[in-house]
Amino acid sequence: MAVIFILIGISLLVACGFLFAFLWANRDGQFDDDYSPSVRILFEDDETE
Amino acid sequence: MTTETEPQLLCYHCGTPCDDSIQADEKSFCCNGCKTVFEIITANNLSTYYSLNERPGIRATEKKFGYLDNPEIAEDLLTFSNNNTSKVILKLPDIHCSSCIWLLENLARLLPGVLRCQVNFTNKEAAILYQSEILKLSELAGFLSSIGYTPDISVAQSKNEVRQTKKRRISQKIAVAGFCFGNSMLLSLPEYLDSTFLLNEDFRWVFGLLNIVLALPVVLFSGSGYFTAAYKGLKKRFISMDLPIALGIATLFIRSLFEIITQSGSGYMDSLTGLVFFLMIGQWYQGKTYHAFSFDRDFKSFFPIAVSRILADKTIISVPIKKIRIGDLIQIHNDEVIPMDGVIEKGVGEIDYSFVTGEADINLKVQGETVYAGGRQKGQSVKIRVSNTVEAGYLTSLWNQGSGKGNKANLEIAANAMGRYFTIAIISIAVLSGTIWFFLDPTRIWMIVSSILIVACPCALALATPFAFGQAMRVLGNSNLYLRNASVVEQLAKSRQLVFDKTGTLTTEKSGRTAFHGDLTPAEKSWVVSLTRQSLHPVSQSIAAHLAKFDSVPVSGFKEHRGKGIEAEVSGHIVKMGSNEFINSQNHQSGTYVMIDGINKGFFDVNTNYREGIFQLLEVLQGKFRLHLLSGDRERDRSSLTKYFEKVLFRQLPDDKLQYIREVQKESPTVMIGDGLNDAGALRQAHTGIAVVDDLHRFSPASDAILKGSELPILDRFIELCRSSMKIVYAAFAMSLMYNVIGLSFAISGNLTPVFSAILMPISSVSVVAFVTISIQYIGKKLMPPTDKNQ
Repeated sequence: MAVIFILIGISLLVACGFLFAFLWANRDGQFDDDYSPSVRILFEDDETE
Repeated sequence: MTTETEPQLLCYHCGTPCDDSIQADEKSFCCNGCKTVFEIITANNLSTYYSLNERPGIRATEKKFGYLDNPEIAEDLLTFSNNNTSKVILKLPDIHCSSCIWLLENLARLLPGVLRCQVNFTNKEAAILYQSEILKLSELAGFLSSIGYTPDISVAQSKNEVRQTKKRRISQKIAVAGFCFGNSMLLSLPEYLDSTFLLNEDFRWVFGLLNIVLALPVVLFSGSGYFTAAYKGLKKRFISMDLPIALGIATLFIRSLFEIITQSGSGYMDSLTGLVFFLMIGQWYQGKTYHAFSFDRDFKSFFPIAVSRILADKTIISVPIKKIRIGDLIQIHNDEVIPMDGVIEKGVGEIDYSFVTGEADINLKVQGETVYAGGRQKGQSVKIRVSNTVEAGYLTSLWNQGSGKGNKANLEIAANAMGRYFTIAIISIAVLSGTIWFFLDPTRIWMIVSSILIVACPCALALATPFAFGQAMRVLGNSNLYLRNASVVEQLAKSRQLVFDKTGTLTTEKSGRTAFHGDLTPAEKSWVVSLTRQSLHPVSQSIAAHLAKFDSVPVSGFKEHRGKGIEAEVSGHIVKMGSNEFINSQNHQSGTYVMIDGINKGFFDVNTNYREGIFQLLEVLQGKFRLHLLSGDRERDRSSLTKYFEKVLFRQLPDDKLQYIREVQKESPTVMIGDGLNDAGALRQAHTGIAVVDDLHRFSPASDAILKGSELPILDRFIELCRSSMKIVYAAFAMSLMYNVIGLSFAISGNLTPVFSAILMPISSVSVVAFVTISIQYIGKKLMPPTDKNQ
């Protein structure tokens, strides 16, 4: 059953990775504007001429 | 006789009603500006703009941005700049739909020199990267203005950054608390199950240690706000809701630490992290702010950021306002705001102080007379010798009057009063049970007392207010009443007196029912509009607004006869407008008559434009509140207004309004409802200041709430909702006290176990939050008519 220590350690590490990723994105301003990106993705890339 | 009727045709660009006189590509436009924008857009293959939304445009108004080329001003605005590329973040209040985003992000195709443009819709900002060698900042701003997106350039732009970081900080706190809460729950679960489940004592030790590690960031980072707030409160000898929470968190942590390290128990780390997690969600919910609005706008955003200064050698340069010194000579052009007090050196000042005083009359000032900051010059440019800096000006002192620290009377916040009684009660209970247990079993005192502090931690109590007011704020926001913060709900709920401003608040600036009786050719209409545009009289303005689609022609010899009428020579014709006595009309119907070259052409019927439904509102409010009316204008309509108001006062200067508010608010909580700068002092002084605006994203004085003018008639329902929210908060207080009694009875008798607290805490919090939000949502649905959200 000692394997559970390793598993807990790994799972916490993975989870910490995600937490860190979120904090990073948040600090970078990813979530500052929650409207424009949803619209922007729908625009056609129509090239001129 | 024909009466003008509104045609059903709408401008293809901006949706303003128009006729078919201006056309392009088989589409009708309301003015040449809109047509030009349409042509620019289609010529650049960007007509998708019109297919994304119907009539997405904004009526363009051209503004000059020459001052932006002054390096000092540019430096303040640019976020990045090297040899040839610069980046600027411009606030564009007119951004309102997906078409706007699309057009602005394709700016590079419209305007050579722009490299990239990215829109932040939430903040109504565009970050523009451009080549400064090809494109000047003033040209960029001018172009944006010409296509309808006039940048709002004010000096205080750095504030936004602070707000942004604050918003981010709270999500970070939630993330950390949520993460630790989830993991801590998993690690604590085996404890709560049958002890045979635990195969090994090592698990207990390791899980305990991991729990400590997980709880540390929660206490030190997520929950840190409560400790600092409680400490600050104590320093000011003030007990708020933060104190019992901080006490609870600290006791939970210390006791759990002790239990885990001495291996005497499993601790309450999961309850602790959960508690902080819920509290943080509450803060986030309450902290909703309307980023697009500025509640703190100060007088400076009224002023241009630069003026033309005349140097000794007669050259004119554009200088930032803060660089202007006493004794400098400045030039104020037509329609510019005078930024500082001064003496007229040359020219005639025709100054409109309606901005400051609320009175719609033009003051004539000749050479040698003093003019005050805040006036708007109408007519030819004047040269002014500055006698006071911006900071020392009359307007500034006016503005600052209501703003002294602690000057603004705030009502006691219910949650804080509750927190105070609660803390006192809990500490006495803890001391009392400690004493009792001293006689029963002294070894258990520490455990019992800490259990009491843990279980009493007013999580549910502390969550009731943020969720209730946060929810109320959202419901109000959906109906176009935007609150500065959630505590305004409580202030509004307690209000007993309403003080209204008249012009711009009870009345609208836009012409409501202006009709012309008679015949005028389009050319004559443009003469009439040219004449009325010279005058600031509300009737002239209503007529000018009514005929807005006609272009002005030059006017000479304009004269205003106070109380009678106006006259001028327009395109070689003598145009006179005014009362029937003024033009010697035989017609006895009242109205504003038009006489061109001595021929009576008919009359305009202009109603004082009270907002629709305003009298019904006053009738409803009459029985429930004490109503007052303060008008900066001269006396008119007194008879029709006195029956609604306890007191009606005319010719009120801004300072009078402020003093009046100060007087009446001694009696009971007061709400000031106003619109202009002349109400600014009163808005700040009153317990609650509501600024009424017709265009939500344009200027409004500093206030606690911003209300869209069209929704003013349902003001009674807004206040009703706030009052109901208050009742619900009290009900929620009762509910959470009940949970506390249950918890306390376990704690005092020494039966509080970690598993019990881990169950009770979430249940109490979640049930209180659910009760509060659902009931306010329900009341909101019942009270508020569905409106189209136009944010």
